[in-house]
Amino acid sequence: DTYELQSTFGLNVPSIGPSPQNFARMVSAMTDGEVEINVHGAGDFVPPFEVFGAVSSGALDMGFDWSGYWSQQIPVANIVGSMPFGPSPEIALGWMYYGGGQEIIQKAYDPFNVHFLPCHLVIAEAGGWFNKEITSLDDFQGLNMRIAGLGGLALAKLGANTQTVPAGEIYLSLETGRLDAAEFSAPSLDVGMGFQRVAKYYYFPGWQQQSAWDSIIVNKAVWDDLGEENQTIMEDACRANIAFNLADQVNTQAPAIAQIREAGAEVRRFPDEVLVGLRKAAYEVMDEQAAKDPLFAEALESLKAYMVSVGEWPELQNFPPASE
Amino acid sequence: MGPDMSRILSFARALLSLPGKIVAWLIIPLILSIVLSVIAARFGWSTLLDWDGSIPLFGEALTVNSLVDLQWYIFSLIVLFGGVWAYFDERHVTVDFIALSLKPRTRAYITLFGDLFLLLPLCILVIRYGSDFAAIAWRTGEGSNQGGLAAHWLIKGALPTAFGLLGLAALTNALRTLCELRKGTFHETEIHHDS
Amino acid sequence: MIADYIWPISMLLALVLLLFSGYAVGFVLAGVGIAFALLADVPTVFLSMGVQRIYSGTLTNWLLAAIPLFVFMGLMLEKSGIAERLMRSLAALAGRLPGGYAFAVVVIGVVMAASTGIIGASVVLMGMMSLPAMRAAGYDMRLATGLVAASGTLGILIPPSIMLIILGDQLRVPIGDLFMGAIYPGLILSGLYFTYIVLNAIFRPSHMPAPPQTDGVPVLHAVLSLARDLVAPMLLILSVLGTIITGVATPTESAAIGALGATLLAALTGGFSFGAFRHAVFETTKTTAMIAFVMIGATVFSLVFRRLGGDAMVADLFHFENVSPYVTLAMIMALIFVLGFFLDWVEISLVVIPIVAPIVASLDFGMPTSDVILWFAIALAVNLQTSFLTPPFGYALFYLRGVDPTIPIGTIYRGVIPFVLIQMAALILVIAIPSIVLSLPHSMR
Ligand code: NA
Ligand code: NA
Repeated sequence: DTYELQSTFGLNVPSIGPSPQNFARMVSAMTDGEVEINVHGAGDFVPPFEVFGAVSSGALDMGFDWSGYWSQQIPVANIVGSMPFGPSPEIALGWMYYGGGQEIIQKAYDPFNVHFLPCHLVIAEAGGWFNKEITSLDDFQGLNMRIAGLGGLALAKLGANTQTVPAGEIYLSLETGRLDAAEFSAPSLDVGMGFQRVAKYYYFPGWQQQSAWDSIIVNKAVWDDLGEENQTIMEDACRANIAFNLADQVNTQAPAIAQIREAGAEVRRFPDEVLVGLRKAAYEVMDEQAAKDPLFAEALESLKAYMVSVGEWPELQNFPPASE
Repeated sequence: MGPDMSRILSFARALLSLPGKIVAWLIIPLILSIVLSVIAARFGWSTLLDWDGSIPLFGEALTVNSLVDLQWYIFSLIVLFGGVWAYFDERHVTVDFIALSLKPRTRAYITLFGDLFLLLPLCILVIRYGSDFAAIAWRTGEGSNQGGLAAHWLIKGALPTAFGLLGLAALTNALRTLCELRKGTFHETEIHHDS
Repeated sequence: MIADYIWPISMLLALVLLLFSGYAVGFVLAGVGIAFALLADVPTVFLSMGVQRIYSGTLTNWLLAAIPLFVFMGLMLEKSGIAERLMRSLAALAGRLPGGYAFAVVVIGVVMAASTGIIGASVVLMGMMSLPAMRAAGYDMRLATGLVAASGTLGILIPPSIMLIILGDQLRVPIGDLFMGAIYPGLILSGLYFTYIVLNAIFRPSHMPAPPQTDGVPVLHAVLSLARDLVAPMLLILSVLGTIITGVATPTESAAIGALGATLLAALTGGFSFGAFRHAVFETTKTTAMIAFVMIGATVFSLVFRRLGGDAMVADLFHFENVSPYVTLAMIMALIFVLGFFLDWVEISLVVIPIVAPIVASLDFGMPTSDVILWFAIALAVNLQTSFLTPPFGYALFYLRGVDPTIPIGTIYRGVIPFVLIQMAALILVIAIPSIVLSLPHSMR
């Protein structure tokens, strides 16, 4: 059978663009052509923010998304989409498959008749573009910054004027000074927007998003009709897809950062004391959200516990800093 | 058409146009809220007003992002209810240089066809599926996740409501056209330069 | 091939036929879409995406809030008499020479172009400000409307511009490069408009008569009225642009500052009455709805058009092999120009660019690929801008008609033809001389 899938991203965006096509290619090969998936780009049928609703109603068979997009209706999607000071990609991977992540999200999606397949793991973002130096938490006071999600709420707690300027107005607003700072994505995507020409500093780490999930979402009736064998194949294809895209993302950051430096933007790190303050604000925000939504609370507890329980492992493996 | 019929139809027109005339005044808060956003950016204010607990529509505090949401809420209402009003005032865009050379009777048939087979299906579509979207938005309490407004169901509900009014408007006009076709006298295309 | 695409082809035919029936454009677009979905047995749940497109694509689009703001600004300036006095003072600079208002339109058009980027907003604003004055002065309305439509659409080419932002996103070109690259082509276009007006003034002065001169006023009075009629409104218009450049406001926000400024100016110069204010409020609503309902109809139409193979048909059109790079480029441009008769520019960008971008990138013009794509993007932008102006299906023309329904659309169609030719000349220039586009972005690196 042939199914229609629409992505929330343009198909020519690096990494996340071709990801659903790669998935569809594998599914077709592994099912011997029994399951064919036509992949459409953002806006082909519905605007990006409507993909979930269209899959839920059955207007679309499948979608490819960043989970955080659905947080206006499904609060837990916010923390799965991007958890400030959250897990690194490998720990996120462990949590999703073995730490109960998949079950929590599925519980949230069930009332909408949507099946969730984690299918693309996004590595850490940058901390953002700044035209003002950040030396202490006070520097966030009154800072006009474009930043989405829970990270934005955390910065607002620290006195920043955080706002949702549409992606298309970021460049000009940074250039004119209407915005002092903006967070968009990882270097490989940021570089294409040309922000390096209008921002002085490019800060790291991406505290607001250490890892994020993109997924294939499938209408429940479509999923049930696929049959157990095809369902397993789709799950396996997603796991393979994650290996593909982790590799391509790691591979593209260094050249992007080089290009950003070459254009004259200075690559910097937030001072440690700033990160400590940000972490405190971020956890306050997440606790507030947890108080409002039981599934959000469950995911937050689960993620925190998982990060603690596997936390010893990377520490055991730590080397001292290289001293040449 | 009889005087009663005529009175009923013009009453229906006035009634269906009324929401548009009311939301029109929202242009003032639209302008002022954007100017306030600009001032807030200048002085680095993020939260403009804070209160205890949660109040309808505005949620837990009035932030810069509440203003941004307020702005597209207003834009939506102006478009939706203004659209019904614009329909009665024949302000929607037309390509009429051929139509103007047609006989009034032929034009009346075209209008009747358009009202019943082009406009009405659109209204039915939006009412049918728009009410589902509104119901989901209401049930999930869909709202801003950025500290903005917390009542997206309001606009998702306004969508099928306005198209419901537009559908009634199409039926009202179709009725008038039918009367005119029967009597053989046709109204002039009204061009309103004033309200 | 025609047999494969019987649905999309019949959709386009039905659209054109019903468009000329004189029924409202937005409703024709949506109605044809829905009818064909039913005829072709598309599951009705598929059409629910039409409702999602209306909500998410049009209603929640914050950038579109600039439309009512600019419309309101235009109405306040017009109803208070400020616009007419501004036009008259600008025209007075041309003295007794014909064409003063026409020059004023181009000047205001270029200034406004640098502050709006939304199709509809600047055309409607310009139309409201200038058409009444030109009509009163006895201008040939073909010339007047063509000029307003053309200078009004400059706004979507001269940065900032939503269209350039979407093209940049689709083609992966930095927006800053696109903004820089569009500046010379925008200036060339305004220069060509000027030239056209000068030629008209020389050869057909009766089409653009000079406004009647007021004679013998005291010098002090003249200076005062110049300050009131010219300086204050020009400052207002420039401040819309100024708030963007100085980083006080984003382009959308600057529209609100313009609207507030126009209201205050109307109050200060005494042209303010509650009746005029209420009129502006009411007209703003109807005009905004008029613009948005064309978008609403177009989004329903294109949803079904795609579902019935319209995008595959368009993709098929772009298969050409073994021809020289310039011929390929010319064919792409010609095809996009023709598609612009029927399709909304957003749809063209979404359907066509993913197909043509790899083709263009593989062509050898003796330049680095990144330059080729940038040059192509600006040529495409000029092409799309032209399509807004091209009858029968040019959005700018529809919106202008909405400003003044007493003007027959046939007048607008005829009036815009010289400007479409000017656009094509500019497009050929941009293609023939890539450095028109590339020199500014290169100098910024
Ligand atoms: Na512009
Ligand atoms: Na056109």
